Amino acid sequence: MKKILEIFLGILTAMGGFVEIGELVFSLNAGAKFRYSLLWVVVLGTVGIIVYGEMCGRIAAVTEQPVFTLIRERAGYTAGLGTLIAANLVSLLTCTAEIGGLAILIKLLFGGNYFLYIVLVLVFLLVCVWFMSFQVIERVFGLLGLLMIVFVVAGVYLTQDWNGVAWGFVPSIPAVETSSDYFVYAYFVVALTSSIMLPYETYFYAAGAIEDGWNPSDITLNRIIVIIGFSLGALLSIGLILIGGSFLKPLLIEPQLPGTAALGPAIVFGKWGLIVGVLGMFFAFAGAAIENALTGAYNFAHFFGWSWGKFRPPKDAPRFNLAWIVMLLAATLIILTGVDPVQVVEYSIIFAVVILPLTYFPMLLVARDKDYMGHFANGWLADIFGWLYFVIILLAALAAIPLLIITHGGEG
Amino acid sequence: MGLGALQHAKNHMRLGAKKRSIWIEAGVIVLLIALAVTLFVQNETKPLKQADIKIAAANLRSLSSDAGQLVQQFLDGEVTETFLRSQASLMRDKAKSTAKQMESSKADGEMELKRWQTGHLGEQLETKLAQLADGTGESAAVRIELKKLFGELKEMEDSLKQR
Repeated sequence: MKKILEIFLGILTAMGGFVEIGELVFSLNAGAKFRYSLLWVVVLGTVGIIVYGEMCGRIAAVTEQPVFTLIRERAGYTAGLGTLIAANLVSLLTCTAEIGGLAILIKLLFGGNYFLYIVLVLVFLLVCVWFMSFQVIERVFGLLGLLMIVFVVAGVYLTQDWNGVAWGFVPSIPAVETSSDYFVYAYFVVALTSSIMLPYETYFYAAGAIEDGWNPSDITLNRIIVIIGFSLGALLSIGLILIGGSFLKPLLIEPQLPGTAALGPAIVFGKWGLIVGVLGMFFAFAGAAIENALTGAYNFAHFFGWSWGKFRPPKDAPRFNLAWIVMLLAATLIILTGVDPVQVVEYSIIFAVVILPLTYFPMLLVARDKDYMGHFANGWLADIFGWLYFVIILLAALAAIPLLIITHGGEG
Repeated sequence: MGLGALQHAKNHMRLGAKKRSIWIEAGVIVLLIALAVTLFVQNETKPLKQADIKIAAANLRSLSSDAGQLVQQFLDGEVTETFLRSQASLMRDKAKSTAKQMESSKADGEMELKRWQTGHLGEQLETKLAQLADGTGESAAVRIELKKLFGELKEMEDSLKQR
């Protein structure tokens, strides 16, 4: 019974923690610009994160070693250090955008000063991470993030062309007005894939597996959580694309603020829909901010061999605790300069795709290495999917920066 | 030369190579930063192109439609007044930034007029959004004006599209 409850909570947590501000922005805009024709990318990205999430959880359960320790071992110090710096920069930018997004959401609910709310958000996040255990953080923010289901219900309610939705799951090039729109479409394919496969998700998942004390007997639990949890999480992205395609596109609205997303549930459920939508976003963004700050700290600790973990009292892992505090402080300072959180997240998502191959390649090598993994090494299916996705993310990484420049950040 | 001295010379050479490598890496980083800064400055000071003005018009068109829908949902009782004011205030900042970008730049040839017109429409949108944010405008009337602005901005955007 306890195991079933653990699986159930794990699935809900993975689902609730799936969406953050980047995915919200790109999913809504994907629908608003190209209606349903990017739905297939959600499936592509979700299978990718399942493949690498499963490998990551399995590596953690078998070797009981964190990802960055293994990256350093396999890739060497210099390449590993490069990956560490790039990964933590992306985590810092993502954390920055989430903090800005949180301050915007509080302003939408209560009015008042945006910059004051940024500081309040910092205090809230510091208190949460300091006082809550890893399991409590995971469950509270994951489960409350499930309020985002209101977007799925609203998306389904607002959609009438289900034939068009079904065709959206088939990869195709849509009919567009101008030739530059083809590049914008390609940009969204890359950005949406990246927003679903953000590297911090796998780092955090693997660190969490060690925090939870997983061992080889948890490999089946890992598979169930990853496959069902991430698939259900993808429904949230699909719901956002439906809102974008069915509600925003006919009005020619390409959302530039998180608040625009809440108009979808509001038109269906009225003020309660609006409030539930804003609260769902709040917990999803807060969870992502904490996960990114902790991921930065985990990465530093794992790479440099520091004592780490939320399961240890802070005095036993001082540098690890200092690292996540510094991550949150640095992110807050950046957003206090007045940069637009939505613009920050757009850049962080594109730079994340550039480092995806650096992150996932060592993981793939370790997962298929019998010296590390024994008989838990990749089977033929995991190997095929692992290599296939490595090629996909490599192509996406090569295309990301040129597409960012050509399309003026996806604007045309 | 004894083995100890040979080892010492090897260590010395390795240390020298390591120092050189650090300086080369630092030089490459400085060059890359200088290149990025140059590109940024060049990008900020160069005249606006047709595509830049089209993007600005599209942003403003989207904001005007978003604001119109927001007011409509407020009038239908689907969003709170606090939400309306806060969202309008955030949109005003966006419109202001786009209008400012249009006004502070120059464009080549016939695009100069389009740049000026887009900036002017951006200013009008900013004013309407400010009225919503401060509660100084009557919502239904502002909605009608937002609809009119939307039409003008859409027309501007379409005229700038390169097929």
